[in-house]
Amino acid sequence: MNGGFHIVVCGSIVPDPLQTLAPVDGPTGPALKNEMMLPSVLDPWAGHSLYEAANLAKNIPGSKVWLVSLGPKAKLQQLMMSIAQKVTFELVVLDGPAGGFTDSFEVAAALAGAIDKIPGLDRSRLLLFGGCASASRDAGVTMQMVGEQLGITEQFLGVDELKVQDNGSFRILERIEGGQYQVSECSGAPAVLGWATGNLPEPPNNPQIGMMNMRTVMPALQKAVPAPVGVGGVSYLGVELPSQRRETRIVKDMSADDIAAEIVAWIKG
Amino acid sequence: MEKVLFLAHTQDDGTLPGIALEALAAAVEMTAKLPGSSLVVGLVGKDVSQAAEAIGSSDCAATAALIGQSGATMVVAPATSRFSRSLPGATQRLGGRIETHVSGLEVVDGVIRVQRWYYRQRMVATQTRVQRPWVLVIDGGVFAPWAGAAAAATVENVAVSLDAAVVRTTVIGVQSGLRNRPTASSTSRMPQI
Amino acid sequence: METASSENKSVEFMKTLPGDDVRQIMWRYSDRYDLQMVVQSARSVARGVVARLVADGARNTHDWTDSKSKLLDGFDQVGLTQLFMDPEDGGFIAGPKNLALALVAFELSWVDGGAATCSLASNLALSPIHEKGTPEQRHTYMSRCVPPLPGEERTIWRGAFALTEPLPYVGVDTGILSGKMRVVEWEEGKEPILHVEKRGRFITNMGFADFVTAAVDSDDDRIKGSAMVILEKDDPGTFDRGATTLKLVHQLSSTSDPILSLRVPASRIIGGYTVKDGVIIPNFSHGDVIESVFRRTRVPVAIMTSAKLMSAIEPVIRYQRTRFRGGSASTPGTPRYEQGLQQKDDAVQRLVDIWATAEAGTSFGFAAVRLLDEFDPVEREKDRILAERGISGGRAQMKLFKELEKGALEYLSLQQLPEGERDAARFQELAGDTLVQFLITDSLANIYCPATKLWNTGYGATMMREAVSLMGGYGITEDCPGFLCQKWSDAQLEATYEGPEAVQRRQISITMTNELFLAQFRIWITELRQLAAQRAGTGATILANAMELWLWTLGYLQKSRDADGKALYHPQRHGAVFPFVDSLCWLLASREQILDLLELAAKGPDNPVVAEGLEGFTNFFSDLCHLQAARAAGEVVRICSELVYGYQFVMESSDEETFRSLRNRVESSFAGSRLAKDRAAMAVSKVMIPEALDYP
Repeated sequence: MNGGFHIVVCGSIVPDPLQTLAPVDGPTGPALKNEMMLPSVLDPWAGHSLYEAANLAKNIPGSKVWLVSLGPKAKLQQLMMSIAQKVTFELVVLDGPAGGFTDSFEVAAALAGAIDKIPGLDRSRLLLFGGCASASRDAGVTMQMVGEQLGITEQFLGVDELKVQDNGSFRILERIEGGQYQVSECSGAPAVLGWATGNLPEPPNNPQIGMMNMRTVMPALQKAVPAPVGVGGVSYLGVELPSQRRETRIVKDMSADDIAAEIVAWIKG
Repeated sequence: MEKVLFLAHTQDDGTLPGIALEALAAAVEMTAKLPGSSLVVGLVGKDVSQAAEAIGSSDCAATAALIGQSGATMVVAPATSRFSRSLPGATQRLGGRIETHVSGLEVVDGVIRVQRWYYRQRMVATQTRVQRPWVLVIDGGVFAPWAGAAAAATVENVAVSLDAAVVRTTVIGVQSGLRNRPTASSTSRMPQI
Repeated sequence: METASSENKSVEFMKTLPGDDVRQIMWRYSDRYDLQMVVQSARSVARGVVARLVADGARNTHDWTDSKSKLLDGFDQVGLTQLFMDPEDGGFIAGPKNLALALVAFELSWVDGGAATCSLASNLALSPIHEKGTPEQRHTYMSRCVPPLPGEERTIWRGAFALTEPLPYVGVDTGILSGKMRVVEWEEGKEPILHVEKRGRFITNMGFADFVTAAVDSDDDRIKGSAMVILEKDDPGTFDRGATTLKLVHQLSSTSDPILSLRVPASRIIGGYTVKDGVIIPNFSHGDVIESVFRRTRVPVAIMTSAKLMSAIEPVIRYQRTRFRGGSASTPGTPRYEQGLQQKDDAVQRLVDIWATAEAGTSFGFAAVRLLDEFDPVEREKDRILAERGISGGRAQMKLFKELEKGALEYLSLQQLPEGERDAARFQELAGDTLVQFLITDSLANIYCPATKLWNTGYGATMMREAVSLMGGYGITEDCPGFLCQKWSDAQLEATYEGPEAVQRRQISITMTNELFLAQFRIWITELRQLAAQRAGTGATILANAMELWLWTLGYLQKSRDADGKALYHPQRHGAVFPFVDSLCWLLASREQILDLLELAAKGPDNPVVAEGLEGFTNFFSDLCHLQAARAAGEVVRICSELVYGYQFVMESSDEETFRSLRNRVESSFAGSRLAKDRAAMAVSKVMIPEALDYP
């Protein structure tokens, strides 16, 4: 591979999935109750793409990984205490909201703008990585939009595998309907890959990597560019939690066989 | 007054997938509720994909061309893996906006309201927007498949020119093996494709 | 009065449970990214490997099993194993690591105390080598214990620490050691070969240790005194790991009673030796070594118990709120359904007591480790200066320190004066005098380390029982979320580790009369009064009054005799002295809790994440401080009253009058403290918690 890849991973924070999430009206649109204070994690699909990126960079000499994150920088800093220990990357921070109710169009524009300004980024070697969807907006559109803005036409979504071949081309497995993979071959970078889980486990924390990354992470956080992305042209007419449905029937005088028969009948519809 | 474009792609056997018929039902219903609106159907046919064997970039170009030429303000499409991959880029190319995973659609006082879930289906929003073209990608299982009577239609071909030199991706085929894969850590569902 | 303004306090409730951003400020590591990363690493192991082991029932056997050894792999993988090492030995944190190790203990113990012990015990084994070992010993063993780098073929060495004898201050002869060493070979001009015989009891990590740092006494005229020696598993002789200790708690740490009978070169004596007139003289006795070691390693154990109390809060709240959900017990929307047991005052009030204890304990423990981090370089510099001046031996050192004490006291009094009023040159001189600063820090470390170990584990165990009881019958099952019953029973061992409670009480009973400590204690009273004037509702006034009462009582006990004419304040009179020691611990913990609140209030606004919910947090923590100060003062009043009145039939009237007036002052300052408790309980009933616990 000629000189390796320049891999830019787009990924930010989402609330820790175990947290209680409740919608509230914020000044600029819907938000989460206590959003700023909820512990966050790296968006899981984006996380997988970051680990795949790092692995690819490790195996192909001359490669480099950037992580471009749009989120409140204080919260990104907290996230870095864990993520920066896992893999080596250079951080680019856009200081703005990370919630799900921002408009993907605005988010994509901000990300594309930031990627465009990364010094030393060779667009001919660029692999644009990200999750196939976020765990917040869950739209699955941002990566394609960023790619489009950067003029990258080769786009893949729901990727589980990227194999680089000797001639620099790569073979990609994408998730499609029916539990199958679509197998494609792409002649080379640049390309957009929205990852599903990939094949790698989450790397354990390694403080040595963390301490090394910190040398660039902290300055990156300090020079974070404000990115006040909003809801765009969306008007939210309401956001609500699904009402709990509990259809419980308490039966006391029925044999186990009768209960089983009734359940089977219900399953069969 | 909206011009609604229903967008679908055919399967290998030339028929529309079930999910496309569901999205069609949504498009028909929406058009009916918007006085003065019209519905056109855009099909990305088998020939297109076979000719290019490059459904990534070609789908994007094809759908962008269809939307652009139709002059549609609203686009309704099923959430297939092909559209999930290609429509966001096409929308971006046209300066439009897109809503995916649409799980509800209604028209109230002439305003199209879309329902979709956030935070991994932990809360549901009803929303609308002003920008056009506005692409709605409808999730499966939301609408009953369209079951109207067949009728003759006028077919107009939209040619998509793809520079072969620019096309860098070739689809090799399909392989099984996705089942039993793990989902993303703490993820409640697979990517919706 | 604090109460007037505390009544007027606007009621902004805490919105969420305090997160990392809040704790980083309170426990003073918000600018230490290395420590923040260590916390994340430890947490990933704790809530991953450790939690799964506990949930899978790995605690149900005493033996060290393959599944338990995954713990060690987990520690290795995320850097906890080399946390103890300096960068030159393969570690990644330079400088003192007491706070780092304490944070790891906190995180591991949040899930399982045994896992924390397992991690700490490896460090304990290395500590004698780290503190007093020769450069060669340090390098050899530290680098063997560091996980191999990628591409390096090497097995990690693990250590165990074998003491098994009474500790200093226990009140019995510390010279009696079960371990013995003799010279078996000593060829002219060569290294002597020793035979070491050691039987350990309750030795942690023994199931897998590759080396043991053992305390042994001389059994030979050719060796002087005692020492600590390093024994390796492949040394010639017997390295029998011994019978597994059948302990009912902390089963994720390996414990057994080893039998060691080995031949080792004399170079294994930790810190080296000299030979004089044909006698091997170890450079450090075992007492020198363990004093230095235990001062540091006791504190993380204290933090372990407090971490468990803190970890109980979320599961208890969730249990209380969801108690009546499901089935026909209640319908959604009703208070019974939404609030569950938290509708009732008792449930939340008791939980608030647990939370306040957890806060006070962690504040106290982390203050102690920060003190040790300050103390480490000062102590090393002191050792260097003394060596340079040729001062060796306890007596010569004590003589010098006695002289320096005046300077230290002078420094403390100058420190109290406004800058313009004090002799700046003299102040600077004393501030720069390492030995003076050593004495001041030492006087605090000699209290803080045993006191936090004693109070956090002892009272913490009692409160852990309370946490279990709040879960009803569920609390004592294996299914109880948060493993509360295991945490409760584990706490009993934590109260014993590194010296049972009597050892800590004994040490404090001696060190708390140090004039340097008492001078600082008086300064704290003044500061608390100033603080109370600036910020209402923290309980600072209560605490200051209780500290005054305590000080007076100390003087009274020291000068008084009982009805039979026997001195009241005598080191062997444990019935009088030990309870008094306990009362001091309550005061110190409460004071540190207030100081952490002030830190949060001061620094919180700078962090946008914390700033958003800051008022709710400071209100809540302030209320916890207030009620804890009242609780602490109540203990002090009770204990002091028993001691002052209990040893005679008639008390001198002037003394009684003074005591009554001081006591009355304490009690009347309780005004509003129960209102603070009500508010705190209300906050607990409203706080948003996650939907599920983040470990099995």
